[in-house]
This record gives sequence, structure tokens and C-alpha cells, in this order.
Amino acid sequence: MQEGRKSVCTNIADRMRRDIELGIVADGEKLPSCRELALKLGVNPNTVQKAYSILEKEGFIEVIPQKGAYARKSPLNSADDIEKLALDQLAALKQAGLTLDQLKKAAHKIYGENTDD
Amino acid sequence: MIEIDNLCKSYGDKHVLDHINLNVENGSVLGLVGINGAGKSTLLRLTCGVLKADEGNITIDGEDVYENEKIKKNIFFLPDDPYYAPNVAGKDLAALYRQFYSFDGGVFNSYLDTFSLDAKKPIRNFSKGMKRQMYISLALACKPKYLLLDEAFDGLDPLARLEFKRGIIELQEQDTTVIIASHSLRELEDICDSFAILDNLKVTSYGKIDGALEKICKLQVVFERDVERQDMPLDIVNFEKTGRVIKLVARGDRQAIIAAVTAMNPLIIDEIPMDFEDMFIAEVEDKGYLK
Repeated sequence: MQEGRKSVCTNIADRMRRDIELGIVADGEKLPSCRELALKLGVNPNTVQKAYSILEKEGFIEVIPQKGAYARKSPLNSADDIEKLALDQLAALKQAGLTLDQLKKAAHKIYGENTDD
Repeated sequence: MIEIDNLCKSYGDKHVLDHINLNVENGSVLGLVGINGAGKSTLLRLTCGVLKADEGNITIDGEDVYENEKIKKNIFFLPDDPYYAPNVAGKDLAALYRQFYSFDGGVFNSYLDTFSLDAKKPIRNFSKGMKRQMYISLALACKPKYLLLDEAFDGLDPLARLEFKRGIIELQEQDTTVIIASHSLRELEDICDSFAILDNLKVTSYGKIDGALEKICKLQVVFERDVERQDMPLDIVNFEKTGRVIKLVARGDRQAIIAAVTAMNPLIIDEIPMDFEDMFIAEVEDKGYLK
């Protein structure tokens, strides 16, 4: 069981990411300004700024200078995106101990027995 | 900027602060934390110039604060337990503060409204929380350049805390510098951008809260073999072993720490997220206070 509490910044970023992924915040919808959200939550505006930066780096937010921040539900429809995501996930799994054998077995399961190595 | 330089203070034989060095930049909100008796209130009193240092000094915008009326006009200190004369009501205090500060009646009334307080009623009849709400309304209305708060959140209900934090954000936008001494570390994490930990006469840790949380990592690890604290190539703050389950807190780059532990081939490795309170407990626990 996971104990521990996430930092304020992480909590804000996680909540916003989830809202965008689930469509609670619509694709293209304008997000509250840092100041607005800071006042609403009662947190330091720098913290909100940082959460927005994280989401911008991840691609969930698009910041247009002079206009504001907009939600972007990044669809994985580009083949490059999907391949990159696969590589990232596999690297993490390898780090955690996934062997090549286990990977092959899993690939067979998902793509069907007649896939060759 | 507030510059605290080699500050020492004792009460008779009892040393409270030993060569404290700390700078607080304009517009920052600093959380001053420490266990009971660590010297937080003393440090705040020294900073607003009502206590004299034994050694070292405190300057604000380049001028020494002690008994400095000119500088004190820019400082508002709200103690843990403010004194008030027996029949005093909010409006009397407002009249008093109007003499010394650029008191904004509009702001005062707005907070009275938010907190549903009657400025004509004697404060002695208020509950603890209401008294604090009255003083917060007064402090925010004075719009000081430097706001020093001793245990500001104590006794406030969650809604009042939120309003108070909003008030601080608005002050900060006008470049007010705020120092809050408090035990409510979760509240501090919301509102502060920087912190200083007072422990055993000294400032043992200080900086930006974000930065500090990035440089500390809590892990739960299980090894097949017996692994002790000294076997791990890490700057360990806290190490607990229950059977084969190790819970550790280490300082450094989080990715590097995780990589170093992974390289030791654990059966299980889990990162446990930490907030500001966790960090404080880990740092102070290391010194043996909570054991």
C-alpha cells in the first residue's frame, strides 16, 4: 500500500492532467490564469506556475503568449508518438527487471502466436 | 530584503539562537518552522526590532531594525497571543493602527464581512478563532511591506484559513514580504515559496520549497540479502528496517538515487511521495527529537 503525500505542485498537476485526459476540461478550453487558480485554491502563484510548466512540457497544455493557457488532449494518432511511448514504457520495464524472454512472451500473447521474433 | 547576519540571542543562561544567517528576498513568503522552543518567536521579535540581539544584526532594506521607527512603519508583527486592553473592540484597534500604518478601511470592512465579525463588540468575548480572524483582518488592512506572523493558522477553521491564504497572495502581489512561523506545515506548503528550519540554535535547512522537495527521496525497498544503512551509497537522512523491508529517505537527485538503489538489485523498489511536512519530519527526526 502506498503511503506518503504528494507535494502541492504535484497534486495540482495530477488533478489538471486527469481532468484534461478525461475530458472534464475540454480540448481547447481556456484554463484559469495562474493568479486565478492560485486565489481559488489558496496557494502560492509560483506553485501553480510550476504545475502549468510541467503540463506544458508533457503536452497537455498549450501556452499562447498574451492570451493564456489552453487544454490540449494530445491524441496519440501519429505513429511516431505511439512508437516513442512504447520505447519509453519498455525502457522503464527493463529497468524494473523485465527480461527479453518475458517481453517476447507478452508480445506473443498480445499480437498472436504466429508472430516471429 | 531582510538580512539576518550572525545573529545570537540568549535569555540569561539559555541560548536560543546561535549565529543565524538568513536572507529573505522582497516579495517572498517564507515559512519558519521548527519544533517547540526552537526560537521561532524570538527570531520574529528580533526581526521586527522589539528585541535586541546579543550579537550580529538584522537589517531591512539596508537599515538596522532595532528601535528604528522609520523601518518599523513598514513592519506588522502579529504575535501568537496578541495583547488587548479589557474593553477594546475591533474598531478601537483599527483606530489605533490607523495612527501608525496606511490603514485601508475598505479592506478591513471586507474581511469583517467575510468572517462575519462585529467591530463594535469587545474582543474579549470572541472565541479564539474569532479573535485571530479579527487580528488577521487588521493586519491585512494595514498593508505592511513586511508581515511577520507567529502561528497565524492556529484556531482558524478551514474556510477562514483559505481566506487568509488568499489575503496573503494578494499582499504578495504588492511585493509584501511575509514570514510565517507555524506548525501547520501543510498550510505553509500551500502558501510559502521558501522555508527555513530552526533546529538546535541554528538554521539547519533553508531555501525554496520546490527545490528542496526535488532533492529528497523516500523509498521502500526489499532486498533478498541483508542490507544495512552503511551498505548504501547514498546521503541517507532516515533509515528504517522492519524484517526485510527498508524504508529510507535520502538527499540528492531523485533519479540518481533510484538508479543507485536499482543497481543493488532489490526484489522490490517503490518510491513514496513526500510533501513538505514529510521532509521536515525526516530532517528533524534524524536529530533524535521524535525518538
